[in-house]
Amino acid sequence: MVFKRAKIFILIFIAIFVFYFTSDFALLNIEKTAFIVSLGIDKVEDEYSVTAQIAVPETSIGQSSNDESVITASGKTLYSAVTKIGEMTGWYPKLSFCNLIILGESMLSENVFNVIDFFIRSYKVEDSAILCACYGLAKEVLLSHSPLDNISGLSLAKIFVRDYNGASRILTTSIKEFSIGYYSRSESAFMPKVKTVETDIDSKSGAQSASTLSEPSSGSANESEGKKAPVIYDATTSLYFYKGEVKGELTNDESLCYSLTIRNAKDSYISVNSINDDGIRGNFLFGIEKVQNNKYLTFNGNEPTLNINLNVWLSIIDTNFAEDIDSVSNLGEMTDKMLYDCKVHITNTITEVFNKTKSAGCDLFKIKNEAYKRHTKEYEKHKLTLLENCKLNLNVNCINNV
Amino acid sequence: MEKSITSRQLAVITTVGFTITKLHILPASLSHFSKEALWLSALINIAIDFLLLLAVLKISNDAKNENVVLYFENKFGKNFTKVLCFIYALFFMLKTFIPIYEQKNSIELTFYETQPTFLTFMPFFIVAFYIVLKGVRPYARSMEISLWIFILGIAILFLLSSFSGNYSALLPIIPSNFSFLNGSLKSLIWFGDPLLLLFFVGKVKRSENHDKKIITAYITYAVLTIIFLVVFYSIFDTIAERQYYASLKMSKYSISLSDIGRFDYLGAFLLSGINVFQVCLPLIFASILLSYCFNFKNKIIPALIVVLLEFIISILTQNDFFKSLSFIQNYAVYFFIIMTYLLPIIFLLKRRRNGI
Repeated sequence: MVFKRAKIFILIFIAIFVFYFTSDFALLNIEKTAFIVSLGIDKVEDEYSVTAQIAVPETSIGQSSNDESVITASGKTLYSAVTKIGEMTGWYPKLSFCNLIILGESMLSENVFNVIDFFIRSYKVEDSAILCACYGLAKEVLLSHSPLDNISGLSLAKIFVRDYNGASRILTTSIKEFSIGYYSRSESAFMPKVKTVETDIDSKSGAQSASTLSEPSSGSANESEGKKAPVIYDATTSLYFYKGEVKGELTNDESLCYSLTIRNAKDSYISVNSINDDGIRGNFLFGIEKVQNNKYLTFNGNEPTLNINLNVWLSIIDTNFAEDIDSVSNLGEMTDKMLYDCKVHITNTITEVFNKTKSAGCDLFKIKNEAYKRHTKEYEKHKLTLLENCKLNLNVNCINNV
Repeated sequence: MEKSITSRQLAVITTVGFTITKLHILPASLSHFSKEALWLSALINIAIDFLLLLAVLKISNDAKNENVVLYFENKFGKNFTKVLCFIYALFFMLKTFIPIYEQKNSIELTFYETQPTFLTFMPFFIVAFYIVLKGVRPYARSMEISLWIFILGIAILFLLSSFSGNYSALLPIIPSNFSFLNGSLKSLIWFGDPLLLLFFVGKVKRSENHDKKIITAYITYAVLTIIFLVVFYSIFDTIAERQYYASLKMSKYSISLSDIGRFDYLGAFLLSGINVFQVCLPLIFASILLSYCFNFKNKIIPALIVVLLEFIISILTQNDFFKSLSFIQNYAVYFFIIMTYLLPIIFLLKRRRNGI
């Protein structure tokens, strides 16, 4: 009898454990679920227009096209717009697979944290989702057709995810990183700004016979035929923010050089005008093989100085003119003149970034954070004037990688 | 007297059980009060708890073969012991309130997609009733088996999260103000675990190096907890106080997950499973103490009372947890201090009635 009772107890115990941990008490029809993979947010008058790119689980083998899975709704707040999508479609909008948040240009005229704080407040969205801004409407970016993936959001996310792994051309950020910057003592952060670039890569045939790219322009051949031109995405320019408001833009070169000061970059390239041993001047593409950066703040009396020591290992990758066989065979070895030109180029660009962000009131180099963490007493004394009084002492050392 | 558990099992409970209850809301709460000095606040509480542990070990040496109730009777007499046991039973039920909520929310928010109803978490109470009914020995054996699951879970958690952090977020090492002391006080309700070991007195088959084993296990718990808090803050920095379910969130930023998928949930799943047993430990003692106070002949009645009360409290407060937490942190914490730290000192200092 006791044995029987024990067996019943064990069976109940196992059954409850299985249900409890597998969510079977909360069954939801998979076909009623809308997996939102990307969100685009625009401001239309005083409402937020939210465009959701949805991957709808289907029982059929066929794949729905991209345009059919993009739905827009408006609301006074971000989430009220998202819930409207559920109301309009009958789907249960599921945000936990949302990997990309795009802010349209109209969103950039206000504190972007008016909407971003939702992603910190809510557990519905993963805060590891990539955050970016775009030219024009976020909706248009999500409606664009990319030859790289059926879903434009996933296609766009690819360039950010790749960049996470080493290359530094894009100043990728996530909801979490942007929020940490916003709530830090520097109250500053950055995000990449995406533009669509038309291409005529034929994704259907898989061939890339004519992969010419062009800047967005009106009246292209594809548009004149009433069909949207396929696009790819460029996110090499960046925006910098102070207290959630846009304070300016970094060009692609500035974004790259700034990223050298915050990341151990590799697998990146920098284009510099220089001269070779034979006296030929031209554009050289140098490969950035490795970067060592060291950033620290010092105080000379009341005057703070941001010291940046940067070691950059470079090699020649390409030129825009023909070189003789000796130069081609030297495994990309750079001359002293080239190293000097690179040093000047990087120094000037970083100094330019420092000056323009500082004059805009944006603490992109995290000077206040650094002061609080390593010079707490000085920080308390000078925190109001710290940024405007700060000087830059930049020491760039370009090293031949060969 | 039946010696139902071993020194080894008690050591496992000290490491696994103590650590696992620190992985949910505590890191966020510490971050709220202490910011980057959260590890210092925790270290202060761990050091205080270490003194408590030494006191408990001393009591357990004094008690020799007595269980804790006999030990109290010999010091305070039967009537006062009954009052004391009743108050401790209530205290253990109150102490379980937060861990139950943590378990509830971590399960509902992580493993469930839809808005959960109150029925969603109800099975926990059936499981809890079974564990409380079975008592100390099955609990200790379950924890012993859980050791390897814990090692796997915590290894997944640390391996995936420790490389994603920015450790300069913990600077300055020496805080500029004393808010970390407030952090220590407000987080005290998550500490005081060595008190639980007091109620194992008389039930342990002591090995030769009993005290050494328990102290080593305690140091292991202390190191794991401090490392966990350091990694946690290095990942979340200024938004750490919003991350209520730390163990479920901090490992998801690993680059490898973007290629392989969210296998970090495996670690969270394993740790959540073990937590079910640990949450029930104070309830086991509450049931035993109630049984002593009211001379229940059937073990089912006190177990049912304890679990039912917890169930009712969790239903009544399900929408007011943070108000309740704030009340406990601001006011009930002093009751915690008396029960956890003050009374054991009195137990230690009070001479036995027969003068031994």
